[in-house]
Amino acid sequence: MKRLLPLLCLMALLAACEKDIEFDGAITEPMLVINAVALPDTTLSVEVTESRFFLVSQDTFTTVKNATVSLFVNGTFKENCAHQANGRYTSNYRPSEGDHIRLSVSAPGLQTVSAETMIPMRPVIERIDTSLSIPEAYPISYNYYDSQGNSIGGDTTGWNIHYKMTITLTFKDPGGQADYYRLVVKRQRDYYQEGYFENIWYTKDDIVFGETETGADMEEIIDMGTYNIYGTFTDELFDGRSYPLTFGVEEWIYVSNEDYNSGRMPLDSTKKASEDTEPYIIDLQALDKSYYLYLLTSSAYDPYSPFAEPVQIHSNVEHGIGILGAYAGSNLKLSLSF
Amino acid sequence: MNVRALLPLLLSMMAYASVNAITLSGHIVDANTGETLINASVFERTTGKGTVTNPYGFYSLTLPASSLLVRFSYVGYAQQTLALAPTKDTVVNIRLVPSTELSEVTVWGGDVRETGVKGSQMSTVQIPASQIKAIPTLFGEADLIKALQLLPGVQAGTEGSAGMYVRGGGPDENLLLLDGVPVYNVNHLFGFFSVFNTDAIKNVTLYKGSFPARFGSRLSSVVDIRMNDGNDQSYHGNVSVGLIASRFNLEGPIIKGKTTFNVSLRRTYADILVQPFIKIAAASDQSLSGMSAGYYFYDFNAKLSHILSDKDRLYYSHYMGDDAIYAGFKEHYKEGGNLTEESRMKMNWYWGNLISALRWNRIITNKLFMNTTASFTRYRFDLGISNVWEQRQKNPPAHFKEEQMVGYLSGITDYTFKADFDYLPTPDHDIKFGASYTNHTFRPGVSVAKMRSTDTTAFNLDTIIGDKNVHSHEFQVYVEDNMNLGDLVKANIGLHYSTFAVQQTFYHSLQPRLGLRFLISDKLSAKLGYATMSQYIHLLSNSSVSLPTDLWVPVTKRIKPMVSRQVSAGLFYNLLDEIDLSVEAYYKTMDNLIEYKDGASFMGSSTGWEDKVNMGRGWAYGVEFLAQRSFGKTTGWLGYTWAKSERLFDRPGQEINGGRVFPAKYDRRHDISLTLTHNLTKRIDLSGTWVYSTGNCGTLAMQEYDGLDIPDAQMWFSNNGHINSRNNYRFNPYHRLDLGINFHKQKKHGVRTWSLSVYNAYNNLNPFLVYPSSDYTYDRINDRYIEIKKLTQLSIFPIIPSLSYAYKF
Repeated sequence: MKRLLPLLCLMALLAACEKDIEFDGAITEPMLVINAVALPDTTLSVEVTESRFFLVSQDTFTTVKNATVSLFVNGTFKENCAHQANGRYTSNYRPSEGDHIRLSVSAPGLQTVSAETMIPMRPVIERIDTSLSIPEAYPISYNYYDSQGNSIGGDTTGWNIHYKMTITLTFKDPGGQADYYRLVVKRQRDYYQEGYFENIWYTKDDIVFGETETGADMEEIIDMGTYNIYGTFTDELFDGRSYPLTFGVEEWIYVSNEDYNSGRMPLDSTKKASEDTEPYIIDLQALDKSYYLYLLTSSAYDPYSPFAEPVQIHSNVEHGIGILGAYAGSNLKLSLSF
Repeated sequence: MNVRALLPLLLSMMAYASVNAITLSGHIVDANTGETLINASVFERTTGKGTVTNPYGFYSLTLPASSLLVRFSYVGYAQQTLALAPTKDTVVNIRLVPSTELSEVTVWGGDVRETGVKGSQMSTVQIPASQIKAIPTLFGEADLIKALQLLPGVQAGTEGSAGMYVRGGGPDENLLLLDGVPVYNVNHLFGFFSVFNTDAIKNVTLYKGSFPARFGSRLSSVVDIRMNDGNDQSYHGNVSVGLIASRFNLEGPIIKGKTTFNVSLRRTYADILVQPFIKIAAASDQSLSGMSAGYYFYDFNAKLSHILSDKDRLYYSHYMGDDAIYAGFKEHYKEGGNLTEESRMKMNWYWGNLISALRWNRIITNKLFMNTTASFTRYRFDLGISNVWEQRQKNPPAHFKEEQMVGYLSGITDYTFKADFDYLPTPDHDIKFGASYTNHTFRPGVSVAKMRSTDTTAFNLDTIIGDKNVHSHEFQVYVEDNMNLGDLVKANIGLHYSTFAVQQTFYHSLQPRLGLRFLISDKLSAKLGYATMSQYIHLLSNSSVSLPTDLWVPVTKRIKPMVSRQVSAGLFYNLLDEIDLSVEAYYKTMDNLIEYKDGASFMGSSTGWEDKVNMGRGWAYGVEFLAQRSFGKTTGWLGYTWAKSERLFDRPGQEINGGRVFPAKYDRRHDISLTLTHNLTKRIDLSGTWVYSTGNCGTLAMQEYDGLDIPDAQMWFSNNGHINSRNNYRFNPYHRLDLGINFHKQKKHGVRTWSLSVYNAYNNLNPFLVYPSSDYTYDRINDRYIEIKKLTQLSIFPIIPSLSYAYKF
């Protein structure tokens, strides 16, 4: 909305006129694109594709199946990653925290590219504190209508509970260097698909997330807030100290009548639906700078916003495009208990 | 400057004083209206000495006590020559009569205009208000800023916008002074109109470089706008009705020859015209009843001037203007006779300036003029939305009410006190000095939210989110001497010193200024200028369109003041005593510029803005050519600019564009403009403008690529654009012809004028935006749609005719 507003005003005022024009600049050649994120104790998976000139119409990007993807760790050659399928190459080597990773990718007809990164150390989580509140709870009952059309309330069968859990995660930041973080909250959803994790939206109350909001109703009219969709932040405000990071999860839960009645808290959680009992996984990730910048710039990238200065998505690939990022996460599970 | 350097100056002054010298001084005004004339010439033939009037129409000329032949002249007025033989200091007040005849300005070689061949000032253009009004414009709405955009060295940015990019600088680097008071927001309607009502304006001077020491606080330009004082003899006014707005102006004496007033009002009326249509729509659709909505802007200018005594004058200038968007909605619901429900929504959104200045002029001695000013200027943006829901029930009696209110406020407020002195000890020295103090209050974005309900269990809220006001103190002091060093050399040497204190941070800056003229012949001179400028405030904005939420913020500990250094050199020639020709070259550096980090966005809140910007530097250079004719039947100018403006953000951690040089947003190589006005007969005058410029720069992602499948994310772009460099694509050239014709007719009580103008007369589809887009065609064989990519250009102003009517009495 915020970007549309001036445009709408403009359009309302004027009958704008569009016409197709010839591109009269230099047509640039396709480049090698590599996409990879290195994690400790995990084999490295590298996607190799080809970029295309923006006026070329094509549904998918061309994958590069005949590339040589060389992996260097701490300055020494380790291996050529094996091609699996559709331009995806994997290593046998499982890097460790603190490893310096370099990829060199070459393919016939395209310029050889390289990228490097350093796998950060896993963050040290010191403690976690939670507080739970229930701002709203509504009884669920069977209602029926009599012959005059009046609603007659039936028995309460259960409750819809709106709960908010404020979480404070305290972790130790290594001093004397710029550190980049991302907070991820997820829940395992095996009922949906084996091994599937659902990302949980959380309130980014903490100042480090840099979110500003304009207030509930106003967003509908003019959106002046800034949002941090990937939950990234830096240690600029707490370099070298233990930092209590505050955020919150806020969800609705259905509780049957036996568990929750007349304002009393439900006593045991076993009768709640199974998807609501999955523990929250709080994953604090330390990111390398390139990956952090990639997340920041790609979330701001908006090709449909003609008035804003276009965003250059961060790339650390020499002579090519893409990203070789790295992160190391520490996580803990948090079960919801009333 | 040490004492030794001052010695020759003092000696020359003493030498001058020791000859039996007298001082002629006074005010030069328009004979019909009593309006003071700015930069009118006073020239004495025998001595060859002269001067010009200051912004208050005051002059002072010290000459030997002998028989003198003094000529008073001003462009567009018949000159007056007086033979005098004064024996003591004499006050000579002059009333000049307007005339369209060519005056013999230069017959005596007495062109003493500061911006002319013989003045020391360069990089400066003056435009009389009458010429601004004659230029054909968009929707027929005469616009000062758009007239300035036609001058060499000034660029408009996007089409139709009132933004000004002077010699490669940004739109927030211009000091726009309305009667000496800064105007922070010059835009109406997202920049399509400027706030200056040409009815209220007397004179405009634009400084692009070689800034005299009396100006400071912005990097790239000073626009000195003076308002009309008001007729001191009789009541006059005009009413005009245009396509966009109507205007009304009234001026006259409160006490004849002593106290005058001048008020001007302008308001758009689209919202009023739209009301009946809303009513008609509401009549057919029940849910729309009680709806109102609209947009308007207005400007109100007022000036009072009062002559207290021969030596004292008081002026009060006032300006207020707002843009406003309003909407209201009312809904009523009834259930039988028992229950009524009502909901009301109201939105008020307005932004604008308020300026007030009280000025006291005093002629302390015939050689020393003082002007003191107390002024107030404020820009504020205010948005309020309220929602009320009410339910009443008769039986059993019940009443529920819920109220919600959200608001957002931002702005800047200045209180300024200043004293300026003009000391003219001899005709060879014009010394100006003064000091000012400004208290700025920056109001960063503040949101207010309130919720109230009769239901005691409901969530009640009353909060304020946002930063506290930030106060700062700016102090300026200056001295300049515009001196003749022999017959061939004239120099304006000055120093400007300023300090800025904000939140335990203190900055100061000493800024040398220099203007030099070498007279090659009576008609040809070479000039050299140098100026350092410093700016302590930034405008946060992340759109190329001017938005009311754009926010002024002060420098901080981390974000240093911007500094520019500019050298300019040029040749000035007077052709046939009629046309001023000039060629100027300039080189300008700008330090501590700010740009948004990639991915950072600002919208109405100053919270943490320092983290979102990078600091870097820029430079601009170019050559400007101007041929200007300001009097006679045909007036106007031809301007050409060749320019280049680049930016470099390469400080570690603050790189933009990978730390490589990139063209500035409105870097354009060529700009040509031709502006002409011709009085065909007494009843008809014609005007025309033609502009041509290199296309603007845009940023295109030339390559598309597959984005990273971001771990732990539900959403990511799989189709990313790769931008190899900022501003890497140039739009097609821009050119446009505007034409206008005015028909005047003398009526019983005044003159009526019909004005017909055509914007973009040959309907050239100029690029406003260029962006990639797609067409889809159906492939029958494979039963699918095929995407065809293309480049699309958006043009927003086709041929636009407009008509207006004015009655001047």
